[in-house]
Amino acid sequence: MKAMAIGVLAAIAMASLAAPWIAPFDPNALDIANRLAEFGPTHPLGTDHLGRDELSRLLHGGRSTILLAVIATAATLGVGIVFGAVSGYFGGKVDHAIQSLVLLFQGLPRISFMLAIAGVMGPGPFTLFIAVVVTSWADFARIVRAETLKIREEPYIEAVRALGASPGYVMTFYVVPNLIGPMVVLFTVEIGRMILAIAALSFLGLGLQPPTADWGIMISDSRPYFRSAPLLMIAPGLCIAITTFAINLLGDSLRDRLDTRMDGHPVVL
Amino acid sequence: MGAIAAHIGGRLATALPVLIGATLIAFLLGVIAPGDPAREALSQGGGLEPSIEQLAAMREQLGLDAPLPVQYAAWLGRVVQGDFGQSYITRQPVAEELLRRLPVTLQLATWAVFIAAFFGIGGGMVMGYFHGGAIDHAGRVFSLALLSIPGFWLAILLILVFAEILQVLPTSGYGTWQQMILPAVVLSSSTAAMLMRLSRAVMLEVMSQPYIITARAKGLSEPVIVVRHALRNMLIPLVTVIGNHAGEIFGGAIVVEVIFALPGLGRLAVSGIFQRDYPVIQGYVLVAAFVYIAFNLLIDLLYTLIHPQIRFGGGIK
Amino acid sequence: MTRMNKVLRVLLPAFALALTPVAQSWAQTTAPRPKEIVLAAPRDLAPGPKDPYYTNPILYVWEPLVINGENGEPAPQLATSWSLSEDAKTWTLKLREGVRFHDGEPFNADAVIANFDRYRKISPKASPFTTFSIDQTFPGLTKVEKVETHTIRLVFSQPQPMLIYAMVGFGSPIYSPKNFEANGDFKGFPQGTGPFKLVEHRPDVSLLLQRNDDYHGAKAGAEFVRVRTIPAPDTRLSAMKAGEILGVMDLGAIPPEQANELAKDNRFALSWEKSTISHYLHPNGKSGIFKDVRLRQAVSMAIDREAIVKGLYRGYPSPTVNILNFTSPFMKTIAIPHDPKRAAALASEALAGKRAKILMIVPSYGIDRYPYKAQAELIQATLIPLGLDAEIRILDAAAYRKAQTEGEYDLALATQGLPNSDPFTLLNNYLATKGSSNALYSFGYSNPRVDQLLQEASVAVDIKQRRKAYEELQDLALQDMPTIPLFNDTSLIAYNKQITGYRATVYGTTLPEVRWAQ
Repeated sequence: MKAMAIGVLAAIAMASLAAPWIAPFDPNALDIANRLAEFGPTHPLGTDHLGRDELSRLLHGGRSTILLAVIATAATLGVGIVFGAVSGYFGGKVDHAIQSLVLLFQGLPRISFMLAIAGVMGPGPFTLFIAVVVTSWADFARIVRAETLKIREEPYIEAVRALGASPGYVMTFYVVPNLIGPMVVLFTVEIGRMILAIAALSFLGLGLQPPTADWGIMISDSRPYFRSAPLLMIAPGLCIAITTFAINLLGDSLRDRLDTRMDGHPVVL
Repeated sequence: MGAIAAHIGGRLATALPVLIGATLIAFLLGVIAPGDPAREALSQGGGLEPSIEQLAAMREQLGLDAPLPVQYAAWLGRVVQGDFGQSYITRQPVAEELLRRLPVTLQLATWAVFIAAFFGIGGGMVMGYFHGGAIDHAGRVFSLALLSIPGFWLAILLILVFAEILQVLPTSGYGTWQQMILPAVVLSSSTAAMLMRLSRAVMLEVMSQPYIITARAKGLSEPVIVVRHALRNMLIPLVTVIGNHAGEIFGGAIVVEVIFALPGLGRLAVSGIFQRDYPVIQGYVLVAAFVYIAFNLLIDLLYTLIHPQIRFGGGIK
Repeated sequence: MTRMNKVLRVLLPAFALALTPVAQSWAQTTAPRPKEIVLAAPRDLAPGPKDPYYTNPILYVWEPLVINGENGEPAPQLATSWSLSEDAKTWTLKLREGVRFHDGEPFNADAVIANFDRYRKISPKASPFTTFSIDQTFPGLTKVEKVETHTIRLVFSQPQPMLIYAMVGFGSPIYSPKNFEANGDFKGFPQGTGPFKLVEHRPDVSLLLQRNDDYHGAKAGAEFVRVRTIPAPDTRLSAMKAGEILGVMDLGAIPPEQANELAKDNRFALSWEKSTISHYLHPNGKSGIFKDVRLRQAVSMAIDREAIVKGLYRGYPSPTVNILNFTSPFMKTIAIPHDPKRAAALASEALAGKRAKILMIVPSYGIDRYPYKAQAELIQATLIPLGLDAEIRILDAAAYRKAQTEGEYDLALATQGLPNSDPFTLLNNYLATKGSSNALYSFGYSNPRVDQLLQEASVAVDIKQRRKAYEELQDLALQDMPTIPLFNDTSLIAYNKQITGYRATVYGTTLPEVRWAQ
């Protein structure tokens, strides 16, 4: 199963990265006379409502969807590690303050908060990035804190502290490295959610801006046409589902291997 | 019971700063957002633009010229008294509007939790019981697939299949239980999948317990015993998962309410955000934060009922 | 087991409580009314008692004194005839006799005066439809007098030759004098004179109309009409196909693409009519490159309006370069120049052969109602040969308006409705140096001749004189192109053939004529 997941992901990643070379058409080239064409030899998956080649858009769409998800997850993870590790390691007032902040951010409705941020900043990739980080860091921080609490109690940490190491030193060289294992799992689990979250924002019209192809945008754009051209909605939907599925599968097996119990909060959109 | 009361008191004391933080964020959201509320209040629906004098008068009427701390203090004072202001667009008191809509969203969420719990736990237990078999494999793939499908996509497909083609359920609307099924299923999908996976694991654990093996050896009616033990062991994970998912279910209700035409808080929030109706956005954020905090307190209470020793554990869960 | 029991004791009542409201409302709706015709709209058409109108006029609950006639000219409704004094400062209106409000009150001069008192009390009053302002509709009104039981006189401080045009529809809604609270809000449901009464309203869910059997004109065809609110267009289409609703109404009732989809199915039919909505591409003429009129003209000439209308709107709207909507009786017919080559040459001249990056903004509400995203992408592609590289940004209504006002855009997709058939307000707002739209959209437009013409039109008593001024204004707008008109929209509706008599009108539908087909 794991090998299959890795294989699928590798294939998707390769195809997306190689999009500019393997896509048969310019993903943004309009051909209004040839709109909503059925699949055929020229357009293997047909054309969309503006006559753009669906296959080329899918390939380019994968590129932007996955890239954005990876960057956003990495950034969220970074913020989460800093707050979570500090909170867990120091405990006391710092912990309390950070955890209050965590609770506060988790208490705000994520999607409307994202909408509001997009409204303030104007939609676009950067907004998407900020909206995702601001609304997701708290979940990470909470999990990192729990892990840090565990690590803090380890005998070797006690030993290093007894030797008079500064908190910064202990954190950087002993706590954070020990967080890497669980974090890899968390990253994998989270990236699937992130793809879904970005798709949802794109669906609401807050994602990347036209004419950029993006799987979420492609689904959203196809809504008026999907009865006569079902492929326009099914293809990008399947792309998201398969990618997320493979990532989740991989995350599962990684999680089993590292024996880390945690339950994520999948995006319910 | 005194200990529980003290414990709850302590929790309330922790929740208060969070609530105040939420009010501050809610207030600031309205302030930093672009757009002139006075103009929003006067120009709607593609009509003609208001005059400059009308705009100035409206700004004054809405108190938009005062310094921010003054605006915040005035606003907070009114909020405490239950006055969330008036919608700039509909002129209705926001508190009334929120109160009218809150039950719809809570109902939707309750239905979603029910469906998630029923199918999640039931499915997971069946999977665990027949672990390694075809049902188990199919169930694992299914649960993972549920976690991998965008909710809005699922919603569109479900409407197409169940309402349009099969015509067994209504597409949308509010008022009958049939109308709650599709939206609740969409909203519950990821929670159900999570619960399926979790309850399968619990089931496996229970089945490997020595006393179950003993019971089996004694020839006791096996499924009954396993199910009973597994159910009891499911309680804490169930409460935890639902607690963790509460915020997401509440937020996910936005898109579900729009697609399925439910008159809940989420739809109010969306129109508020798109019309830059500050009092509505602020009211929504406040109510959402309040519901979430209250819900977590409830979860906390449930924990202490299930596991009395948790009462003495510290920190925020 | 006791722990379990304790938990259950807490949980079960909580769940039961949470589910009860559903059970209750479910009981409410199981008592079906006979023969309800169920329709749907994208928004709640009854904003409620604090709205200046309570319901949208397309529900036919209330009636104005004057309505928009078929040719765009004002036509009698509650007022049957009118006359203007020599000095154009006094209007005398004859009121329809034998009319009663839904609550049984008689309609007469006293009732009209009570409504004018309310107008004054509530103005200006915002609404999701259009802001009500007595100063805008009845500028300089000094007196409303009863002449006879069924005659009133409106006295103004300055000449108001075009008043009747402004009074159309939203300009003169009339309700029972007993229908108002002290502050001018509604007391209970609206008590109008229309062919339908509002008898039930569940905000954002549905409203129920019942036939008014005392209606003064032709009675409504259906006894009960329910209008549901379904905001998502896909869901509306699904509800149509599932037979849950028998028709759709209101702006953006059905996107053209979906209408065609529906028309393939023999159970459904479409109806469309000219609409008062026009679509524009607003250029920022105040700052940025579109200060240059040549560039504005180049863009106008490059855009293939036919392709937009045919490709994205399935051919329902009609392309235009006229600033004035085609429902206005003052609209002048102007040929549409489409010449990409000349456009490219003109643009190249204006840009000195260089390429420029521009920002095109699109309002998100437009995306819900129209294929605006595709339209923006199509225009984006059209502009490339002109040397213009457009970035598209979709903004919510507030951010969009802010970008317009502060001039932080180059091109904006926009719609404009014509609230009444006198184009003066629209032309003045768009074209006058001090016009509000001109300022708020950053057109930066100023032409002394235009200001002079508007001044002349505002005082012209003779309708011919006005027409002349309006026509010259349309020519000047074409020449200077402060905004680039794209096309006049149609109001498009779809319905199930189980009902009949349902047609689109300029602003709404022929709701009173709807009945079951048999």
